[in-house]
Amino acid sequence: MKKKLTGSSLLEYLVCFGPSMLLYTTFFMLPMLLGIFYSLTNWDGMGNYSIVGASNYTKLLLNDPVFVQSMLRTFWFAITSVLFTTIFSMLCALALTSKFKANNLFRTIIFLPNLISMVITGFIWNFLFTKVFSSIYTSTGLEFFNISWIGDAKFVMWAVVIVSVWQGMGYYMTIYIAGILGIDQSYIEAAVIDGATDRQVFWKIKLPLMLPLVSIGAFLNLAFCMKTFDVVFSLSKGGPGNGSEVAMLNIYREAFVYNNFGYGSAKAIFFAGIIIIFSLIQQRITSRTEVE
Amino acid sequence: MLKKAVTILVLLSMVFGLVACSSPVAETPAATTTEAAVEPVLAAPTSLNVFYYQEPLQLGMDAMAQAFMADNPNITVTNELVTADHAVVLKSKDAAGQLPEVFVTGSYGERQLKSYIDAGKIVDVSGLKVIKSLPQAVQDSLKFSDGKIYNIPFTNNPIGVFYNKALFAKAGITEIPKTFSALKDAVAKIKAIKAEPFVMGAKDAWPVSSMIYSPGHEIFADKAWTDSMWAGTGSHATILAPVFDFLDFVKANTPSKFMETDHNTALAKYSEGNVAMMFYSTDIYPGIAALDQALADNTGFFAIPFTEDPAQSKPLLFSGTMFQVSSKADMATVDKYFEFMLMSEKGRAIFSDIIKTSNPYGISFAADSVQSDAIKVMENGNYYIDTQNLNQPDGFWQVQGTVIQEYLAGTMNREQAAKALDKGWQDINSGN
Amino acid sequence: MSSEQKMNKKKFWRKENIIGFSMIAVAALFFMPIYYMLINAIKPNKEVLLRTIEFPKGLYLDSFITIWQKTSFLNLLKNSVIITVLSIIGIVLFSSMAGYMIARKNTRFTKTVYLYLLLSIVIPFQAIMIPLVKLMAFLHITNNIYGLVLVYICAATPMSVFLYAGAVRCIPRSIEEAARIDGANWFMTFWRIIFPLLRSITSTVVILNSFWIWNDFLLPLIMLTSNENKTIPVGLMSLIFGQYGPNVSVGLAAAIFSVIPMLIIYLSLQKYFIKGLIEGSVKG
Repeated sequence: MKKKLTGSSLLEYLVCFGPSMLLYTTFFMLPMLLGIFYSLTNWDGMGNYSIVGASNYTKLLLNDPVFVQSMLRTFWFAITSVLFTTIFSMLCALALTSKFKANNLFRTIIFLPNLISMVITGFIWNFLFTKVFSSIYTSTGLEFFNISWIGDAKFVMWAVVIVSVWQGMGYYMTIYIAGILGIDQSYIEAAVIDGATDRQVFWKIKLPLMLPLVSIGAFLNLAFCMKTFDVVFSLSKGGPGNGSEVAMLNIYREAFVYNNFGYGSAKAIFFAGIIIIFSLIQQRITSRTEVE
Repeated sequence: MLKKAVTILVLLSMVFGLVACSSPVAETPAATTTEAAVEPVLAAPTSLNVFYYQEPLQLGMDAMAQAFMADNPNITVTNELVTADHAVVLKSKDAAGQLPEVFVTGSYGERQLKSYIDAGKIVDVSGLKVIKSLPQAVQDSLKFSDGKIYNIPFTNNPIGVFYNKALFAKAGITEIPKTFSALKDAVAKIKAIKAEPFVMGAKDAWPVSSMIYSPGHEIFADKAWTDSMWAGTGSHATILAPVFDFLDFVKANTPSKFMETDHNTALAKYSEGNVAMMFYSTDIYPGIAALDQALADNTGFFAIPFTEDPAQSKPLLFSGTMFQVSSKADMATVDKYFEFMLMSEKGRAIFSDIIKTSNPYGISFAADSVQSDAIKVMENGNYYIDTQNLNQPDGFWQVQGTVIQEYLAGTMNREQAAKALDKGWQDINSGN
Repeated sequence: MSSEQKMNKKKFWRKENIIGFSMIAVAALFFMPIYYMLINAIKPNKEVLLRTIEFPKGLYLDSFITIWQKTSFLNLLKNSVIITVLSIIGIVLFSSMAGYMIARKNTRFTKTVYLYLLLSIVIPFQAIMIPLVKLMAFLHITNNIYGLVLVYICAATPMSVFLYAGAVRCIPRSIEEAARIDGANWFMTFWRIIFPLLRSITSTVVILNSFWIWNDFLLPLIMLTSNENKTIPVGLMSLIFGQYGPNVSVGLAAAIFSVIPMLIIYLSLQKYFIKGLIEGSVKG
């Protein structure tokens, strides 16, 4: 099995990794390193700058409550959204892998929102929350539709959660469907012969076998939710007030509306660090449950 | 299967490639890049890229470019209209070294353009013929403290109240309110006939901040106060009470859910005909006309009556569009183009027929009902010029709008709002 | 015995019904926004704003015509298709090889590469946006759709390598060892034998990446600055989000315009999509 690093295997590495590594390093790593450099300056995105050391970082921690709040809001959003998305997509995946007709139609409908870009999704839901909901309220009188979903700071983040679950569920559901279909049927058959109920089959066989997949799905979803920007930008523009200003929107404004590119970069790099820590914790938790 | 997929994709791309290649991709009003006819001309061909975000100007700008190129075949004028994220696009263009020759940054003040000026990105335009054609007083008002002019004014949009004349008549309001208490009386009368006094789009930050520009104008524009803000000693707490009073009054008399209403939705609400007043600039008419032509023609305009002194009731002349010129531009070409647009007969005809907006160049136009009211109101120089916007930090409108939203939504009280505004000002300032 | 069977059958059917009904409810909820999008796209703007939930009285196609007239839609479509197709080809070529290598050689080097690639999943785009534009200006590939293709290949690499590596692990080594004994070199082995076996995961990679590349907004907005290079999302967005906020009826029509090509791709590859996910992630 062991191989020596011969000339030919060096060539293999070069051919296989060469193109993707070259592109990745050029268009991702280099800009990121540059971004880290800018985060230590007071660059306005345009003219000259001077190096200000770590002062951008101390400022964002000590003297920028709006940014800190936007981070906390993002954590809340990411956790809530990942939780709902995972539970609902798992339930739907279970339902849509049982034998009943029109599975494919339902899968397609639930997947449909994924085909729509985030910006347009935000736009459609903005339209739903403001126009359609109020029309439904007028004709039905249901209080749910009378809530000012994107005009009230108490509800606006829930509105973002609703949209994000609507958008993301189909994708994770499909991954989980793949997971369930990928389970070796002989395990389940054996359990059924031993007299296991459906519930037992789910808790004792399907779920444990799917946990690695759930872990991957939740990791991707979490990283994605932490970086949420487009949908908030077109749904509520961060309003009312700062009611739905997520971290990415705050960073965007700092760099491009207030023209403090250096400080904005510092925020972005700091936040990336936080996402890495979050992801590690999440991986640790799910891998521990997997072992059990 | 993969083969099939790839084949499908490749076929699709070929089909579209062919279609697109065979059909002339010309009719692009958003992007009129008409190549100048290749014929022997004396001067070397030059090109002029014009970047702006003011949607209502689109047809007029394209007509200008076409007419200019017909007269000057060696110059190619390309208009680019970017409405979404225009500031970011402009910055990316700059980072890519492709700053257009003429552009609208959207910020006009000395402090706001500071980064452009310091980096040597924009140039003094005081030598252009169009600037010299302006009255001396206007030229002076455009000068920055270094004695140079960096903005070419193009259009002006007065901000004020537009109102439903039929509802005013029905409520028995015979005289346009010129004081805050007269406005209160008018609102009471409108309520008496079961109509809604105001509609407001407070979902986005910009309508809120542009709304408080006008009532807050005299307050914010005070030079001593702005200087104290820049020095870090001033505070909004000392001056904002009248603005808050006014906002409270408007809020109390706006029955619809304004925090989730954006500008266009508010307009739709107004067009239903049961709302008496809304705040905006004079370029509102086409928006109402698209929904209800009769109502648009029955809509009038007056200055926001913010104080108890009728003489103070003047609209704010907001600098709608100002162009900046890149330091890499060929000034002779820029001069020629602006001269064509604003001084030549052809250009002025296009301006008065298509752009139809008030301007500092004395170009007359067929004013719609809202504009003609505004012109009457502003006779004899009875208006404020937007200077407070010029003295704020860049992007402060965003802070202003956001904080006022918080105040309107009830999540901040006056004291907290004033503090947040102060902090926003200092933060933007210190980040530079 | 037979009665027990009947009982079971009854129970079985009842459970199915519950699942069926709840799924219908879920699907209806999911479809509601799309339904309102469809019915309002064929109404005049005034009716959209004033009578939102009513079914349209007639077919009003002006919004679609506006889009057709105000944008050079075919040109936008051509750019979007070229960018998406070229990016997908590059992604499939490069990531399949890298994924293969990672799956087959479990060395410290490949592990490092793997972690190095994962970094991009957590780094926000805003952090690298302006430096990226500067870099591309330095390389003279701004405002160039092929330059953008390179960025997309880079951005899609981590996820795709991840999926390919998982799928390759499912293929027994014996297959390629047999081929090598026959004298084929690894390159031929990969493209002739392994790659055809990866077709399900390839269709998954194609689907997932074409969605986001097709719909991506911010990158083409800042990278492709001239009008003849614009893509569908950027071209349509300027109609949806005017200076004063969204233009509802045109916006809804634009949304439909931009979704249809993706819907066709999804429906034609759907069958292989789930299969590919099974291969890519379950054992990955």
